[in-house]
Amino acid sequence: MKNHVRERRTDADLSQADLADAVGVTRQTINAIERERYDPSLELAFQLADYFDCRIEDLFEPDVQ
Amino acid sequence: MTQTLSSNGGRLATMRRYRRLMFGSVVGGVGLSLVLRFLDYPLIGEAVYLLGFAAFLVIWQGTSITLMDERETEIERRASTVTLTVTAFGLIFAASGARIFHAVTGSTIPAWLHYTIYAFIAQFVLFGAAYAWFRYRP
Repeated sequence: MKNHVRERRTDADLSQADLADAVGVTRQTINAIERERYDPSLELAFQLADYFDCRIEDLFEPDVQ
Repeated sequence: MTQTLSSNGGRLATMRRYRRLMFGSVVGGVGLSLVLRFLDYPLIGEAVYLLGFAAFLVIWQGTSITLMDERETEIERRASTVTLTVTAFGLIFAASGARIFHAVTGSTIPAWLHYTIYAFIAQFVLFGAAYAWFRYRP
């Protein structure tokens, strides 16, 4: 799934570790999400959207089949 | 931006600490047991070995802290699926190979291979029971 986590994170001048600590996952998980190697759970997706104060659709774009 | 840094950062640090304790107790128990066996204290060595795993179990099951984040859980799930699949095919071909060997040569396979095949069968019986439990439990 495409996402804009990296853009939002860098705009907020945060490291991956900072964001990981904020949402309660490991830095490797944030890295995997940004590289689109891992799709987060709904709960984590909402946590990220909540952290960046945006809608979940602003962060994640489902793959169009 | 929602600030949740302190609470989740603390939770992550606690998770790492518990995981270090868990795996440290196993590594420490195994290491110390090897030393004790070398020093000719086999029974104390076994007790230390088992204590190490007991400590792992107590921490793993006794804490309310989530010990793996969701990606780690997913990786473990996928690795387990791959392992089970490879084992299944290994068992299918090993069992067939044993029967073909017997049919062609009249001899039986070595006992250790025989028991290994049965051990794998027992593993899949356990898998079936666990699957049924999770599928049908109320």
